[in-house]
Amino acid sequence: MSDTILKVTNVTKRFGGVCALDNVNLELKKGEIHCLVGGNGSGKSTLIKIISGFYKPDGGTVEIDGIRHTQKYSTMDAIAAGVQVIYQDMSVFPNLTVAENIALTINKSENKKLVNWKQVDEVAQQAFDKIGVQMPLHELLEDMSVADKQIVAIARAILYDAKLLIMDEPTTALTRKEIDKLFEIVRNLQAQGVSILFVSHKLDEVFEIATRFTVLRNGQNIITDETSNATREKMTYYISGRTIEGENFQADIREGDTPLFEVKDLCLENGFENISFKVMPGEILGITGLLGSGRTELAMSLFGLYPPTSGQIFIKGKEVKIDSPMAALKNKIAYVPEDRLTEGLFLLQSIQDNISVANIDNMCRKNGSIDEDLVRADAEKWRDRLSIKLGKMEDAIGTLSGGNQQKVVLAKWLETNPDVLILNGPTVGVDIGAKYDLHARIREIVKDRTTAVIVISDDVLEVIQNCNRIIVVKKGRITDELSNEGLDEATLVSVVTSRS
Amino acid sequence: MKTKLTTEGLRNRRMKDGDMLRLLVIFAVSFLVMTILEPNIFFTKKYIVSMASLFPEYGILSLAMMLAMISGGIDLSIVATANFSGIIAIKFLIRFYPEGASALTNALFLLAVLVIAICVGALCGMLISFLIAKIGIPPMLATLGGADLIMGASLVLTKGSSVNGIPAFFAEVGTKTLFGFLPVPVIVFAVCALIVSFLLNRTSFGMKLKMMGSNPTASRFSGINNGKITFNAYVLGGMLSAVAGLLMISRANSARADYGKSYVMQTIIICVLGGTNPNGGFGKVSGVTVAILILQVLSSGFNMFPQISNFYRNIIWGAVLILVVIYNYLSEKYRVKKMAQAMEKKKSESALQK
Amino acid sequence: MKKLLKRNEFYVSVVIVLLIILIQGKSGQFFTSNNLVDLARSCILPGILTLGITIEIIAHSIDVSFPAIAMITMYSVTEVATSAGYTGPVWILFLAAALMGTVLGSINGVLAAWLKLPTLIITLATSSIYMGIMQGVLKCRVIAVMADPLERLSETYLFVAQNKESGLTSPLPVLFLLLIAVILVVGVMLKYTMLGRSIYAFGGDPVSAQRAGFNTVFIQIFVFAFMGCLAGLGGMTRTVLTGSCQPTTLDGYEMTCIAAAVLGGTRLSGGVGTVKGSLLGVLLMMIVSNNLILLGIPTYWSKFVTGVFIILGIGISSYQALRAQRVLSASVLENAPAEKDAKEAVRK
Repeated sequence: MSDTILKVTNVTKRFGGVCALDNVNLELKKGEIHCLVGGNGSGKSTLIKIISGFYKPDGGTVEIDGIRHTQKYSTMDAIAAGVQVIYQDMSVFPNLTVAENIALTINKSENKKLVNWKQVDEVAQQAFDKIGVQMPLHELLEDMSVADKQIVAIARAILYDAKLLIMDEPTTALTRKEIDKLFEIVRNLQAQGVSILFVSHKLDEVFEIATRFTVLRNGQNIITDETSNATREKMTYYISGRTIEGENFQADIREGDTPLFEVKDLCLENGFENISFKVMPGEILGITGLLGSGRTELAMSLFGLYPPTSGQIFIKGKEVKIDSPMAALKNKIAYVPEDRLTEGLFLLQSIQDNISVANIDNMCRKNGSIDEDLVRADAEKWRDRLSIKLGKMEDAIGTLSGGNQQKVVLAKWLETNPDVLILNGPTVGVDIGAKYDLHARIREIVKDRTTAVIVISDDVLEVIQNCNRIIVVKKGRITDELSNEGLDEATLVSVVTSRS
Repeated sequence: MKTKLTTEGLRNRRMKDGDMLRLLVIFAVSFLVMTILEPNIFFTKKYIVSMASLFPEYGILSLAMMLAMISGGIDLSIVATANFSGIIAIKFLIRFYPEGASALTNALFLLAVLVIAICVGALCGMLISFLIAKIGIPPMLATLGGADLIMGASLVLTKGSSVNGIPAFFAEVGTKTLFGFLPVPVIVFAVCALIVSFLLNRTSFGMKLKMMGSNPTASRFSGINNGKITFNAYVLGGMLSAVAGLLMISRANSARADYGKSYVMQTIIICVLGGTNPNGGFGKVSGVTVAILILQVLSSGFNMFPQISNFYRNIIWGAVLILVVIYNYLSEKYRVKKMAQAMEKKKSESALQK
Repeated sequence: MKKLLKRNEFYVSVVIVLLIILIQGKSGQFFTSNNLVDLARSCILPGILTLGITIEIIAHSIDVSFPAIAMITMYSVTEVATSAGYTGPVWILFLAAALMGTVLGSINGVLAAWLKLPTLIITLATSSIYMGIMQGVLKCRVIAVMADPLERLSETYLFVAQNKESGLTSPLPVLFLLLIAVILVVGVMLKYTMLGRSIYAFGGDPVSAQRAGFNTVFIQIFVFAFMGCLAGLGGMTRTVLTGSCQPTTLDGYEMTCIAAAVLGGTRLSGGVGTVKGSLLGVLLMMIVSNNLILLGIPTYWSKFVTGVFIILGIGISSYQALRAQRVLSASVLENAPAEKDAKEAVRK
């Protein structure tokens, strides 16, 4: 019996005219934790869907535990073969209890017609025993955290006697503590003989949990290796095809300048405490911290989404009260949000409308009507200045790529001529070329010394390269302030993750 | 994260010129068919006038419904508001109207009635928007409960019976025609349509309304005052409903708490037919107008044939609605396919060039 | 305790109790036998229909066509039975109505599931079509004297309650048993069958339901078909209870039932709803519409008061949800120790 649980050989998949996977190979040994790494559009999601039977490959084979599967390989076959996938959305039912979530699908697959609630509890308990965790069986899933939902999803998957567990970006929404717990469960499963395929783009986790990794780019294999052989530089190169370029941002700070933006002793109940910092002309301030550290709450509070409970905010020396997003806009504070798809963009509306929406009140004539020509001219100005690749201004914004969409969000806020520009995770989900493009634009904004720019991000590299001064936030408080001069990632990472 | 172009997504697209053209074609065809079938009856001035008498009410109510739909909601209280505003205004009229008044007095009272009705309509709209924006009740339920409340108030005022004894001049307004053929109600509708069209297409309110309807989260994150926009939309809708209510009363020469019960559903049908998206973000006055005309032509046409009873109208409207929605669904599917193909082509071309 | 406060059922129960106290206090008439029987009787029809709409709302579907389905089946069956001088068992008529209703409801379901059209719009359209067919094609009329079996059924009672003081009598129709039967069937189905659970699953997350292997098309068609069946039964019930067949008698009834379901805690967004809650909602609506007069409030106030209750009931839970959104719940500052520890995994 071979010791390979999964063997994907020369798999190709096309959608229309595009080749999503091109002769891709992947091999997993039994009991291995393997990480599938790649950027957006690398093909990793497609590969997962082929292994799970959701897509049928146009060429190549999928072999699970020695059994080569035919073209007819379906999701039911995959489950029967011992493959379980936990997608990013986890496919759980928020309106049902923990126990029912775990037992429902397996009872369904056994074609049961009636429900025995005692059995449901027993099944759920069994699953929890297997993964070594306990949870209240009768709580509704919607009342629970993302991390708990994930544990429920894993428990459910384990009931199927999974031999291969595939997890798609499982740590995206988890705090450090929750990631630790997750990894412990994963190692527990590994000890029981389950093989695990992790899909992730977060390099730290790759190094922490996986023994081997495979990198895909543009639907092709780039490399498969042991994690012990890899370094961050090499990984970034594998994923993007480029090395880290350019110098760290340096600010031109002049004596005697008044701060463009200042915050004193800002507090938000359940959010953060005693936050104080300044942003001087020409600076880009970075705020970083782990997920759950309070950095997003701070960003949203500065924009009035969760108005601060106490403290003071000063813009160009004048104190302002920000108690709503409308007040923020009035005071020329701009916020580029974390999740552009739900928070930043109106996907089905036109590109032009998306650019002009925040500033539209200033584009009206005396009689109340919008000056269409002015709006159009401004939109085109941003298209050119930010090099946004688009078809027509009237096209729906959903047709643009991630990087271009983010540029539109940026344009929307630059259009308001802000005094303070806060960017939260500005390059999330953006491919590496567009990432550097956006960084260059951000750096340009501070050149005129009239806009305070704050970049909030968990991407340590991004923060070091683009912010001359970095604030570290932990549990809602500022714990450190560093300059980016001579700072390397390892140091910053250790400051951010230290438990002090 | 790639944004997937799905049928679901693009089904919400704005109404393009193609849709408008299609609607106009349907209208022209229906009109033609009716004219050909019964040229003696259909194309007479009298008939056109009578055909035009009902649609202003539908039209103005549809405008109110459209505003609510664009904002991402729905307004099931438009008829209740129409009746309630009308009842209050008419009761005022009956109470204070002197005998043998001059034309000037008539005009003044007409103005007063209009103002009172519009104010009451606005108040109803404020109530609804308060429930939606400040209490957080979903629009369907807020307007549902609100309708009961408002109609209930009408019932209290009228004790369930109709309000009669309306001064004659008021009913005449409904039947008066300008230039000999354009009924006043049609003019009223045209004015309302122009105002709404201007607000929607040319002002920042209109833009914010459709953006909020498309994505209320992003709109909040863009500094738009969702509460204020909702308020404006439903207050405007309430005022429009009030005007429609006056038209209804004028035509019937009495006021009741329960006129036009079936209108609500029909305005929804008109809006959807006219390209308004029930999920919010898209809607055009022109589309709604043409939709009303189409349905009015069809139903009036059927009225000409005595063998086909009035109730067939219901069947027609229902069937038309389903057909339209099916057509929209299929044509969007087709459009998505075409667009996806074009994008794939672009991608593979640029990939080849590398 | 906190969870208890969150649930609509709790509030509705409180309001019902308060109302009863008020009514009993003011008139002393609430707990009279004939009032209670009248109340029970008035709950039969809305009870049946509200349970049907509850299931649909759980499945994230809205249906405004069921009054039309009820009316057209009621009319058709009664008309046919009456003109044919039907003298057979009455339950066959009910069966016929149920079947016809199921077919009409399935049409809604098919349109919703295959073509994925929004359910409000579809059912608006079919409602219009069915009413039009009934009024236009079938040229419906009021049938004052119906077929014999129906007339007899409308006079069959479980028992007759008599108010000793006023001498008023109130019969409890045997059809009350139909309501009980429907409650049992729906209750068992929702709680103890896979079909019922699949409806909850579908309403909670349709994509996950599909991934789990549930036949989502079937579920959608089923909930509409089942509502149609109940609507057919409801229509016949209406006819029997009123003693004659009036074709437009249920106009606007959909709002009453939807409101009752929502008051009882059924969530419009799907996935949540209970038999108990919806019945409480029905009870509340019926107390309000029937017993206001005992408080000295004239009947023409009843719609207004119903409206107030709907708004209050829905408003309270909506407002709570709104407030919860506006503040941060989890504490970042301590990484939420207390609450989380309680839920935290205990390592074996």
